[in-house]
Amino acid sequence: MSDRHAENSPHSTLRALTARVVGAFETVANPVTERERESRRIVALCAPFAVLLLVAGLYPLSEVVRISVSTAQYRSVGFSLDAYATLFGDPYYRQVAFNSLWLTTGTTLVSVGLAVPIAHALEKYDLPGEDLLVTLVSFPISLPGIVAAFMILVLFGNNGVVTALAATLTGSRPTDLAFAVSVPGLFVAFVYSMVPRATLILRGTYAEVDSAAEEAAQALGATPFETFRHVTLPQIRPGITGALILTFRTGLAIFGTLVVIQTLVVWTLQLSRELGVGYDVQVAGAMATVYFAFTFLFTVFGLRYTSAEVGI
Amino acid sequence: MAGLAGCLTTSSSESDADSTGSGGGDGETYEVGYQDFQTNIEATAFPDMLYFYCVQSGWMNWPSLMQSFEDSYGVAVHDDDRSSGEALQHMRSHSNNMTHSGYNGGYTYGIVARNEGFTQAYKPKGWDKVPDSLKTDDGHVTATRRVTTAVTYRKDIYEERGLDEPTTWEDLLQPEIMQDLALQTPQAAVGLAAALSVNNAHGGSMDDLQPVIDYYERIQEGGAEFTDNFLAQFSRGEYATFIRYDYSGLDLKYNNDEVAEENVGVALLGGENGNKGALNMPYGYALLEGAPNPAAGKLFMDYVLSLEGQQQFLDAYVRPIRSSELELPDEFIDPSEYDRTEFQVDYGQLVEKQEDIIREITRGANI
Repeated sequence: MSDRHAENSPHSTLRALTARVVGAFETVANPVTERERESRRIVALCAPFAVLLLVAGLYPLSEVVRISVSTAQYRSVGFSLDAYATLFGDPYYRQVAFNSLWLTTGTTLVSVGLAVPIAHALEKYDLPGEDLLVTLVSFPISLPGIVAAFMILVLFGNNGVVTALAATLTGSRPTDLAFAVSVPGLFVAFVYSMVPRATLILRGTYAEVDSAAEEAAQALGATPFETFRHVTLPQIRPGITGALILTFRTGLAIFGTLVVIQTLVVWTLQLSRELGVGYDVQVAGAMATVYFAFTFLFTVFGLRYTSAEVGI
Repeated sequence: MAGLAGCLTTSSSESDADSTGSGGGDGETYEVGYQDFQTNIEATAFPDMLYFYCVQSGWMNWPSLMQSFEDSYGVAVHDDDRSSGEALQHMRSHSNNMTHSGYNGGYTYGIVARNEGFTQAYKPKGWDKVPDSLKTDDGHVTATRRVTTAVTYRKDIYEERGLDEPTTWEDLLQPEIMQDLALQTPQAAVGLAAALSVNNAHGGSMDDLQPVIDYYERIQEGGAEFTDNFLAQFSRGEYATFIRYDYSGLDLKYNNDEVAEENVGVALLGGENGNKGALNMPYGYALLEGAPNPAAGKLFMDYVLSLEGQQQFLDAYVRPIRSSELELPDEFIDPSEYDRTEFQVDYGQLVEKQEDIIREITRGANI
């Protein structure tokens, strides 16, 4: 609300708003000018998404919020904030939130850190078999988290390939080296799922980098690293911010991996447990609501620091 | 709650209500029920298809039971592919219009159904043979078979490491066993049974869970892992030991080609000081309030509890509730081992407390 209309009564504001909305509808229905025709096209193009947003987004979300304040288990009736009191009052949930945040923050930084050189190499150089490389890098995106977890088990489990190799080389016992079902194992599994997403965003960013400026810097005697530091980095910074936001959100949403490697109780895992024995659907609803509010606000604030094209 | 009324239902759909004794044609009469619940039922009242929750092909040898019941009495049993929890949900949504005559599944879910008023009293023939702790006094819920917490291990790997067969929960604390041991979190029924078994073996109770919390912390330090998917890893040697039920272990040993029979051992565990450490998780049934076919339902219940029906559980390594009257096959764990280790809890109390128990253990042991 702008404060110029502060002296207006809410009633007249509402009337003005209604008039505006009705006017907008009329414009769309019977366009006269070219500009109005343009807005009609925009509306037409956005309509499918608007329907989807309503049916698959806002409606289920409002139901989830409704469940979280319900007083009955199988029906949404009454109003109670007990679930939120549990969520914010019980230190256990703070611990779960903390687990989620530090694990996701750590894996996001590592993933984006790995994605920068990968995207750099893919965009800057003509690599042999580049198409194959791109396929390999992006391939984990299509893998469910549960499969990623199994891959980590096959590599680093008690009789994993890497474990066996390392045990042979160092002469220690495989079970002492295996770390698949541990926090480090979970960390690697997360990174495995998150690197491709970060890479995809950064590739798009690199494609837009002005290579003339880089060549000029090189011609003036800058080392490759200096060129990256002073010429390339400022240009890809928005892309990096965008990748950080998207990768962080991806990490928060991971669930399948945790079903196999249950070494750390994070938000998604706890949410599924609430729906198990006892079926505490109110707390589960409250957890989903808090989760959504957090990611939404996180994205909104994150976007203020970047011009990257990252959707909410 | 329904009292003892309504237990003497006979055919309600037939007009000739005075046909006692054997009628003509297929007018067979069968005597069912135990003591006060004894009643005669007419074959003429039988439906073509009996609907009974969770009696389904695909587990615990039900297909063979369903077939032999149909061969004996001409009543087909519907293949009802549901979990216990799904059956309960279905009951709740059809509470005024019961579609099924009986419930069969996890015993604790049966207790929940009873507490919510969905069941009626009926003691089948052989009810007296069921241990008191595995049936409700009022005849609403009766256990028909049970699975017991057991440890399954790779004999070949144990031999390599020079380990003996474990007999107590204490034995599992050897570093060589803990390092690749797998079990489930208490969120799963099988994981809850394991936790209560450990707890009982170390002198705990449903009100004192500290023993199992301490135990779980110790084995986690030793490298044990909580996971829900370990059958494949077990056959690949990822885990040398896992904790589940006797039935799952024996099934893996005899019905799985991926790992040789002689390489799998299944053992029941006790406590150090003679405490029991193998909890029974019973499965049972109940006749439902407003059952569409109470007569056929009772007949089926009697058949399942008859020695002929019980024998068919045994064929699939599921321990029937009347196992003491049956010849156990050699593949089975020795009955004396069961005597040494198995115990029951108050299942009604377990239903009430399980949420708190699960919460306390998972938070206490950081699972």
